Amino acid sequence: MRRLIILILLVFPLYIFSQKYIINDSNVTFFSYAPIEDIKAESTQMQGVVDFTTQEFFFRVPIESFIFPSSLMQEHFNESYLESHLFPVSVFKGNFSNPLELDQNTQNINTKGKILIHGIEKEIDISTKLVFQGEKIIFSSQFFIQLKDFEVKIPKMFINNISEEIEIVVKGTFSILE
Amino acid sequence: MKIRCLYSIIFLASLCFSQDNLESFLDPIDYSSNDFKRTFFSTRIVNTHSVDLYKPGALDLRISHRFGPISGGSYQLFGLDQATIRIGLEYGLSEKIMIGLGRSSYKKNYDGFFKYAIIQQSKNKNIPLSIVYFSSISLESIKKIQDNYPFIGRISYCNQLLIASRLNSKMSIQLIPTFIHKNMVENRSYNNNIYLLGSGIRYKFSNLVALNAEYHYMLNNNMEQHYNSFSIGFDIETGGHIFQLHCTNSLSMYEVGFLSETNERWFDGGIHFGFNISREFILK
Repeated sequence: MRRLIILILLVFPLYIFSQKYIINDSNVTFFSYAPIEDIKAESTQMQGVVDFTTQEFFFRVPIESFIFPSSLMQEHFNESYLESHLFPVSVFKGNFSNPLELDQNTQNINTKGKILIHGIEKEIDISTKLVFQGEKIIFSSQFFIQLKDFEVKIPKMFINNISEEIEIVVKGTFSILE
Repeated sequence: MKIRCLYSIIFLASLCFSQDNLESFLDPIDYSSNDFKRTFFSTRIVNTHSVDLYKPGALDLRISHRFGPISGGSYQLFGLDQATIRIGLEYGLSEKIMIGLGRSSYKKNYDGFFKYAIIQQSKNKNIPLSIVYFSSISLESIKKIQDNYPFIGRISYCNQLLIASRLNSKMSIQLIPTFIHKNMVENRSYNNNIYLLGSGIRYKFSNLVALNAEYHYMLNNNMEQHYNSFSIGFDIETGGHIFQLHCTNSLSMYEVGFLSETNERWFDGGIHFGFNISREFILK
């Protein structure tokens, strides 16, 4: 009997109390500020799921879903820089480094994880702001990456058109996974 | 012992129930909506329009030059002493519609065009080609020798279907059936309606350099000294600008002109060096 209780206690939190939230809508925007031009591209197709029990998460966004104001930029982004035919998806996965405080409606969560861009995985810490609104959670986050960390090469000719440091802004809402 | 083993397996399983399993909660990625690819570098192959359109809110300033014939020899610096110019603006109205205006020094011609994307090539949706309808109107504003030259006689129309396929990341081909109507022609015996079949090709050497060529065959040509247009050249992309350098036997840079009024031949040295410079501005 005692064994059974232990067994149930072990399995129970996994399958019943597992609070998973999934992304409803999202917006990933990245910015490159360079002397000649500022470049901005946007995707609304990020998917993601967060498990507040295990404090783990998984996000992914298809590279081809980034929309540029110029079709030529979009083609170069896919074919020359991010090579979306070889590396179609970018992933960010990991877990919280500070625990969630359930009594606060707005809080910052520091996360520690691995980001996959252009087929290269790097450790990264990203801080996220969470706002609890009833059944929904609104998240927003901002971070920077270096293109050379992910072996994205810029031709010399474009050194004044594309910044080495890229700012990424992520926004969206979660709702409970049914 | 067995039960203890079971415990540890369950415990381990609970630990391993990690991010990779989280991925399984997500819907499969829908790639079909965003495999957009340009078929050519520019909205022109050399003279003729390609199936590519500018995105909504993008404005393109296009300056084109054709120099004199190479047969002019060293005295004319192989044609470089003379130049014909066209200045044009092109604007993307929506994902499917593009419009443009141009003014050529050749016959002091004004031209306006409209481009509508009927079908767009998509690998994920199994659409092997793009089809674009192109229509242009041109107005010759040059002074005519005849008195009372009717205004309507200065106007000509061009309608084309641009059918193109991006065969792979390097090679693109295009087929261009054309119908031209001229309200007035130079000679009573000439056709007012001209039918043409054209083709174009693009081969990319690198992400920034491509070779382009196009040829148009007149199906009902009964005009003297009017020849089929053939052009070949390179596209060079330099971040925002596209340079198109080419050789062609056509002097004019609007559709009715280069398709039906080309009166020089490659074999007789009637080759013109020329270039197009295109600069895209993002207005939205």
